[in-house]
Amino acid sequence: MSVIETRDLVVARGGKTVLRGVTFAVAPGDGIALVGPNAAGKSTLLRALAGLLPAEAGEVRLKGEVLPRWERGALARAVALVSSEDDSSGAFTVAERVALGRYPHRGPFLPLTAADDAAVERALAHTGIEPLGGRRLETLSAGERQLAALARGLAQEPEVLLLDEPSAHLDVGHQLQLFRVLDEARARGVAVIAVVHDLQRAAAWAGRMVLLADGAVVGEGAPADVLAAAAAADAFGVRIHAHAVPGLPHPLYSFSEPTR
Amino acid sequence: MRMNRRRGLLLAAGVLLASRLSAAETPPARIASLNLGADEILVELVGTDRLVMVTTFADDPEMSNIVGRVPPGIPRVTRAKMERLVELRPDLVVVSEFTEADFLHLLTTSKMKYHRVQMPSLDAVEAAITELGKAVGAEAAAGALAEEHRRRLSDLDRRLAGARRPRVLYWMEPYTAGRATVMHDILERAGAKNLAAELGITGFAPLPAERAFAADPDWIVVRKEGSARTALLAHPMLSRLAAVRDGRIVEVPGRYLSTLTHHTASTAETIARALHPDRFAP
Amino acid sequence: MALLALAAALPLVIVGAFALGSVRLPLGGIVDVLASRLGLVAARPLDPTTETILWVVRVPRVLLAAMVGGGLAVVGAVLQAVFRNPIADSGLLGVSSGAALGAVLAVKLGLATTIFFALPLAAFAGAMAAVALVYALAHSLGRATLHGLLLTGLTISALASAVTSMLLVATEEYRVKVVLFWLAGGLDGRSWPHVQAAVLLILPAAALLAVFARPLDVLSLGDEEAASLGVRVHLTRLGLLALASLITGTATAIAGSVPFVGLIAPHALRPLVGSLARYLLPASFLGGAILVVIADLAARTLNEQMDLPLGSLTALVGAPYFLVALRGSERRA
Repeated sequence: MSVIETRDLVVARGGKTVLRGVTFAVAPGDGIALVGPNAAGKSTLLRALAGLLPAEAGEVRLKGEVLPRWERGALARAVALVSSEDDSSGAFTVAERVALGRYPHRGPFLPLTAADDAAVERALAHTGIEPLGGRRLETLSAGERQLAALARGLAQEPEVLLLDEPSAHLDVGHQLQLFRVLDEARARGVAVIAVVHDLQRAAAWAGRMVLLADGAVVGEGAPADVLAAAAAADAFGVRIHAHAVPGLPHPLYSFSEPTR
Repeated sequence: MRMNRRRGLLLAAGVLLASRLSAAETPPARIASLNLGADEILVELVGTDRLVMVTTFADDPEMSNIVGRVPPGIPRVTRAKMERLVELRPDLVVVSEFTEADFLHLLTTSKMKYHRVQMPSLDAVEAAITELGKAVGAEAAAGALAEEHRRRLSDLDRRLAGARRPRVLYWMEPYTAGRATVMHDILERAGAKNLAAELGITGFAPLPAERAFAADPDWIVVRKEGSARTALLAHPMLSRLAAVRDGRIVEVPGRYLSTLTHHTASTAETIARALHPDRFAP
Repeated sequence: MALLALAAALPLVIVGAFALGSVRLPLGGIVDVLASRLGLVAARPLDPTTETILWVVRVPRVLLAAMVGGGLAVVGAVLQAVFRNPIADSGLLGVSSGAALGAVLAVKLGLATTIFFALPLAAFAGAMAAVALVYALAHSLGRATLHGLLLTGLTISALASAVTSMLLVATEEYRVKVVLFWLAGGLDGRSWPHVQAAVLLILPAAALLAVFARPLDVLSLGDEEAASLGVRVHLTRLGLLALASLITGTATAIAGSVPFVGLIAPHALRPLVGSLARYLLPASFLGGAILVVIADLAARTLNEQMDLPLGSLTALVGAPYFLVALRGSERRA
């Protein structure tokens, strides 16, 4: 039973058609890496899944119901979107920012309860930024701010977690931490869909990989299979070589320019 | 019933008349003046012992015709300070036509009577002086002042009868005074033709130097204080005007230009004497 | 907490401002007038001078200073959150320039000297017209983004200022002086009708803004994040900006241009109460009110011959404050 799925989804942005009929389904606990070349439509797809962009044709179904039928607050409680761009005002503290993730649950007027505080605590703990709770965002590094954004998403306690390049500003240690956090979320039943540019990372982490090129799905399945297919090489315009390494559960990849 | 109503009306009329009489019988003893023009007229009408407030401009020799005539003990204000005004308990506050309506409302709410002096044209000067005279209970002095003004102007008319009217530019860089200004009236009475009016200007408006140059005035009227004359002599274009080269510049003292009062006669006279010296026997 | 301290300080400052002014009033007289006007004691004969100065001139003026200052400060805090810019201020959306244009028109047409309340009404109308124009234009280019609003606001401000200048140049000097005094900001000549207008418009709008504190906070996370958290971004922003414009338009119509209050108050209070709107908005209101009451006190007592312009005083305080604050933050960064 899928928690979120799309069927022949067509989405336009700025007058141009970006997604030309995307179909795939995600089950609870799935870990999907959304990969593809620049301008393939990955960010657009994430936003359509979050209900931020309307479908020109086709549909997105969340728990069996099409998105337009979902009440705004309920949708926000079910789906959390974490982007790598942080537009937020730097004057908030980390704790305040993460606590705003409870907004879908409490609305504009109801005060935060102990349960909300606990959710915020958990989110801070899972992302390892508890010690930064009282620090103002503008005093943090880009990586720390990214973790704070992720914590906000976790505090929402969604069923679907959408991430747009979550490891963009993170050093290697934090990257590993990030993916561990995502795995822990998956273990709790959260469906995680992450746009990842680093194919190695994506292959190492994802249970399933969806390859998007030119607005359509051109590969879907286990990362090794997707990257081995010709479609992947075509999409990225490079030759992809998989190297089995003893002791590693998944291959190491190297890339080279195509021969002329 | 009808008898009572008629009696009631008579009674009301009587009360009204009586109150008007009583108002006329007790002229205001404490007068606050909030603009320079009123300062100057009031000093002539009621002297200074009935004044409780005048403007700071009254002491400025470049603007005022009553320098030294108001004792230092009388407070000066540049712009009304309500609390001080209330403290002085004036019977009458004299304001100008430019005073804001919201301020007048505040005066009324503070139980202060006010009189507004309005002089939209030269002809209205005498009427305005007379009105002010009535308001302060100095009708005789006002009448005399107005009559003096009228006499001086008609004397000018007499002297200048038939004189050729030169084309005169009133130059308050970059402004001039066109039709429907008091300066226009003054220039006409001084035996001049207002160049600005000829150029189609109405009201107080800026005049581009090129137009002034092209119009080639016979005379230019400027303010004496400040560097207006020097500026003309140094102006790259206007310094080439015949009027400037030949020194046909009338410098009028600032105190004749700053307000509208009975002194407008002096303004007209100063200009007339410069334009038509032959009409004024030595 | 700092908020409580401010809430306690404001009434003290207000009463202090009642007691001080260019005319010394006996303290007993002040108490008498206030007590009797507020109905606390039975009516008794009062010194008419004290009563007039206090009740007709000073009290309305101080109350106006508090409401104008508080309103402008709250608007500053709200705009800084909505535009995610620490130097956003009430002048952003063309409100002040529109108000100035309305005021100049009223003066030039002679309405300000003949009809009571014509000047503030015209200024208010100008302010609202400018804001409506900004929003309509920004929307005609697609859904109004922050960027679009900002640019349109700047453009309309510039346009209104240009028209204002053109009108002023062709206006005679005495009327220009009237406009000059209005532009420089001030509360002299304002009375109870102005207070009524402020109570009707500024206070409820400011209260509504404080009520929507949490959506405001979410909005300052960024449009996309706010939308994904369930906030109706455009509607919320429209509502917040409409309330902000209403407050600014009213405050400017009453007091002319009073700059910097919307910048100083939130800036000074953030270190004390944090950035969450539910504390910052009320704190800003109180802080702004205190600031302008004191500035107005200075305006009406420092000079014997005229009331100093209120706007100049807030700018004279605000500019150096900002230089100091800026240096502090540069050093920390």
